[in-house]
Amino acid sequence: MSFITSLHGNGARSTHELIQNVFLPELNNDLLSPHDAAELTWNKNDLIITTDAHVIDPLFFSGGDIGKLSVCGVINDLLTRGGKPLYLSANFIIEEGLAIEDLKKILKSMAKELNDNQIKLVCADTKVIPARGKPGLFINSNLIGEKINSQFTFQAPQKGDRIYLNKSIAEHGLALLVEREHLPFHGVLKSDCQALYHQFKSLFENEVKVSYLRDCTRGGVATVAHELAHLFSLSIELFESKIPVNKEVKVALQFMGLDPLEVANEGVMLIIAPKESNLLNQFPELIEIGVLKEKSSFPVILTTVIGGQRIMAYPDHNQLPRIC
Amino acid sequence: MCLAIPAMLRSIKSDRGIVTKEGLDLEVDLTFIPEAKIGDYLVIHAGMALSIMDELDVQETLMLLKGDLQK
Amino acid sequence: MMSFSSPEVTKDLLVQLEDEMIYQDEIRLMEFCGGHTHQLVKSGLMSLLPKNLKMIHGPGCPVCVLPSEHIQAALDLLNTHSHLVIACFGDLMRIPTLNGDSLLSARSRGHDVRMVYDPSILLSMAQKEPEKQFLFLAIGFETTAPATARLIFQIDQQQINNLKVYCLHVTTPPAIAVVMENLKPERRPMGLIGPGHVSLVTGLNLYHEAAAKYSVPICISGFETNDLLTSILVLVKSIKSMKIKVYNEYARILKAQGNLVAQKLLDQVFELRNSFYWRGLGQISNSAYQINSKYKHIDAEKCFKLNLTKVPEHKQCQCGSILKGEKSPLDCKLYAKVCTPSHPLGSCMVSSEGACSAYYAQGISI
Repeated sequence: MSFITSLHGNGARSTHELIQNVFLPELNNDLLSPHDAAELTWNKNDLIITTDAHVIDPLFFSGGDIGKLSVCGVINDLLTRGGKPLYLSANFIIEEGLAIEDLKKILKSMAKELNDNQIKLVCADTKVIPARGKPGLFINSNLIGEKINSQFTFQAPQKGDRIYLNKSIAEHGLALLVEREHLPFHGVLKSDCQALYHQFKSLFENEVKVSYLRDCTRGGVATVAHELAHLFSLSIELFESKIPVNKEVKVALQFMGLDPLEVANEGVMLIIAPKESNLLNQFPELIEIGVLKEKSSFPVILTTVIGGQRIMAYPDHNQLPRIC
Repeated sequence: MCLAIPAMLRSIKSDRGIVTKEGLDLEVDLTFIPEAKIGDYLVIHAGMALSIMDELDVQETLMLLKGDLQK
Repeated sequence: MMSFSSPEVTKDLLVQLEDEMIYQDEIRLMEFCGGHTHQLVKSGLMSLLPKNLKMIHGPGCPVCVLPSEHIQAALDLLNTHSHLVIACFGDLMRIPTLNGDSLLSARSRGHDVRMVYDPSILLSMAQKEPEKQFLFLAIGFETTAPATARLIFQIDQQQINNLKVYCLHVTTPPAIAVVMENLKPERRPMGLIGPGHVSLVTGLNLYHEAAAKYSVPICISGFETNDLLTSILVLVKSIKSMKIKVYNEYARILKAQGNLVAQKLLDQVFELRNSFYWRGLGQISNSAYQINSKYKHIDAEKCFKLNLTKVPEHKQCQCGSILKGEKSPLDCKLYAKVCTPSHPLGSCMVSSEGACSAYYAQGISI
């Protein structure tokens, strides 16, 4: 069993061997440059680019790992602006002591997502740093793409627009919380980490009328709602009875006193569309959960199952289980 | 305070048991409910079973309370 | 029991409550338990109650009434004990202490602070890491005290030397007494919603004395929306017919005698402190547990030198008066302006069960 050591970060022979023996077998392709820069042909008018850093702990979790996350996350981000993913550049900052077998597994996960979405890794870099505890790994991914449809334009968000989600929420954050804090729940809790490009590219190809797309990640749907209320200078009303939460997730959250709207996701797309849009014809699986309203002193309000109301405060902290 | 959730007891091993709810399993301590049997709905707080739940809905509860009000 | 969360039943009960309250002078009720406060707000029920029904949010929130100097004392130990692991429930992690520090911040700085859901996990953790010293911060009312008692019992039985408990459990009746005795008649609740889960352990006896002494009906309630609404309905009817009684709304789960096995273990492991300082409520006698001498080898207060330095409240913080029911969050100059759920200055806003947090979530602002 071999482990990453500081030698692997020396830029000399050990680094070269690491790249040859560990990285290239999973990620090599005709565009992966052996030089200091990758030269690509670009004959399109638009360029879309996004960046993300992945510092997740634990590295492996039910439903995925940091490798899968580092590719799916940026695919979904690019998608929200109508981007077709093409080329990835990635940085790997590895802590000494990480098992090389673990690194291989992570790279395999990355490779699968890259292949499934026809993305090529064109340049990469690795560094090794001393471990601060259990050895980890940080991945920074930068994804470049072109517009799926250069004719597509977003509608201006306005009051009356409906808010939709593609699936049930709170799964990723919950799966990670249970693993990281060793909570005694066993069962079907699994991260929903997934790339959504193939599912939603036709939205742009067919020029469906939408005003906004957002990938709901850290801070949950409630955070995205606050961000958008601020961005659009409008307010948002969410309907509790419509928010999709799987049964076992609901129960786990009940045990821990957590609000599903504040828990992180990794495969949840929020879409805002005008009332008259044909979005639901094209995507009947979408679930309507709220509406844009006129700006008010409380940016996000929840209408509860019993028809009452409460304010959703801007989540400001990591979700922590309570007993009280 | 005091989040306590009912879940069904599905197995017992000495003073511990496994309760289940909607596909989620949780291991709990049964010391305070020695009479617990498989199939019982136990109320769980901080990993401890504190009580057994009876079948009694809102209407039945209201009837009981109305009775108390009239006494 | 679907009916306790069924929106159709809620509608029906609300209609009954509206009927009872029509032409009625103001009725003030207090829900003692922070979990009830949380559910009233979370469910949206607060926004649907008749306007002449006023809910006073009681001090039954263990986070709200815990003086932060206990947390600071544990944090200080991290600086002098390099192998210390502090374990606690998630509720404690964000409470601000001296200079805005917290258990969560300490963890971010690299200290070993672990959150637990079930404290019994500490038994195997301590055994697997013999080089570490574990300290469990045990908070909560009588609902949680049995779990701690069980932990202490098992630590002793399994002879685990590196796991100690800092017992900070408090009891319900003295807090009810402080509130009822301090409030002027025009602010005093006319009925009490009693804590359903505390009562699973204690039973119902302790409420008869309070009902008689303060001449208020008390309804011990479950935690679903329709539990609370049923309890409110029963109290309103009781007040209108001037009946002073103790009602058990939580009958499907709550037995009148409580949990006798748990009570026995509490007697075995704990004894009442002469006096304990409650944040907001002040010094109260016979209101908190300490570990009895038989288990002193597990008692953190005997095993560590705990330095308790009072953490000063913000000068304008009104949490004390709010916890006693004397003032509402609206009477506090900091509420919603400087003190918000994102930047809580006092305990009533830090905890999602506190009165200020509840008011904020209802959108009540000055």
